Amino acid sequence: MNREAEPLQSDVDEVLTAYLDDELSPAEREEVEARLSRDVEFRRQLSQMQRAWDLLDALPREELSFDFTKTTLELVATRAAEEVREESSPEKRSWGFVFAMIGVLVFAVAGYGIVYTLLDAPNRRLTSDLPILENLDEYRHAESIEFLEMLDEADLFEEEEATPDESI
Amino acid sequence: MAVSESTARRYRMQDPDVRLMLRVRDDDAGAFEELVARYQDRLITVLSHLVGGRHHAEDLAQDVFLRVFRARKTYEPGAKFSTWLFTIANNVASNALRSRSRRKEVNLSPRPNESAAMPLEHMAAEASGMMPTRQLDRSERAEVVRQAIEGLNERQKMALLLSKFEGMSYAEIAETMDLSTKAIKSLLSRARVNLRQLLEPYIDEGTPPTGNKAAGKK
Repeated sequence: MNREAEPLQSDVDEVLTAYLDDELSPAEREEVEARLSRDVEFRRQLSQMQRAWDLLDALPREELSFDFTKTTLELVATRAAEEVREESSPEKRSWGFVFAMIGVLVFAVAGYGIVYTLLDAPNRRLTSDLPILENLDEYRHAESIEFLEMLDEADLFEEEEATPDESI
Repeated sequence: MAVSESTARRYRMQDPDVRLMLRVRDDDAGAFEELVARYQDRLITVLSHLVGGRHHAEDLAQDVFLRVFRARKTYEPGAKFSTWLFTIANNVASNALRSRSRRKEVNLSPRPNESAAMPLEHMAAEASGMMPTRQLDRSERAEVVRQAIEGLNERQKMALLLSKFEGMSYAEIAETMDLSTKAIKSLLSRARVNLRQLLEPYIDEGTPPTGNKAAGKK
């Protein structure tokens, strides 16, 4: 007849520890409690383990005063201030200045380009329309542009072609 | 890995200390002071038993709070606040213990469960030979237990202290120590077995323990 292999003592210890720590599944807990009811040695081991555990209650628990809280906060504040100073150290500041200047330059160039493109368009329009504006009073008398082009083709006003305004 | 919105919302709703930390993230100095006041005792209790000294524990606790403050802008509630805090504390304590052992320049390579003070096997042998002839008073009992804790390795100690003093579940301890739940189960089991061996004479004393029980564990 085959007998079940005896569990290793380490396995028994693990089960007892987990039982005391309430870390067993319901099925595992039932199994342990069933064995506790019939196995004296198992009960003795559990009892010893529990009592060793309870002896840990003899270890003191620390109780600190507000002074510790205060010195901790002061330490943290001091270190935080040191870190801020390090962040804005001369070396870090000079590199920061360089990057800032590069950024300003880039935006200045881009801004000039945008301004030139958008705001100068009307000025350019004005420049190209200047000859018409300067002779606007005369042009009012013409009936149409086609009539003026016809007169120009007929070369009827040759001496006027040499006037400085036409060279614009 | 980023925390999902549903996870963050859950912890925001369930954990008042998470809500306080979110106010710290928004540079609320009063909220930070409140967190320090709430956690300083708990933090130093665990750290002092871990590193074996109150003054050292206070320095380490301040390091922990400083790290919390520095991390405030990137804080996301992906766990209980206490789990996150003690994760930082575990890291700070591990670094400190590592530095301390390097400074001591121990010639012999230590075994995992061997403390700098006395190997576990020696302590257990001495303990088994001891027969207390009287009940120990509170301070003697505390000293005996403190020495027993010293006989554990760093990970066993940390898991034990988080379980006992913080009432953390295996899953929470696993998250804090960046181990699997299975590993924590094994770690705690070995820690308790070692403790039982070291404290056997005092267990058989039959004297009930004095003092307050831990909040989370029976």
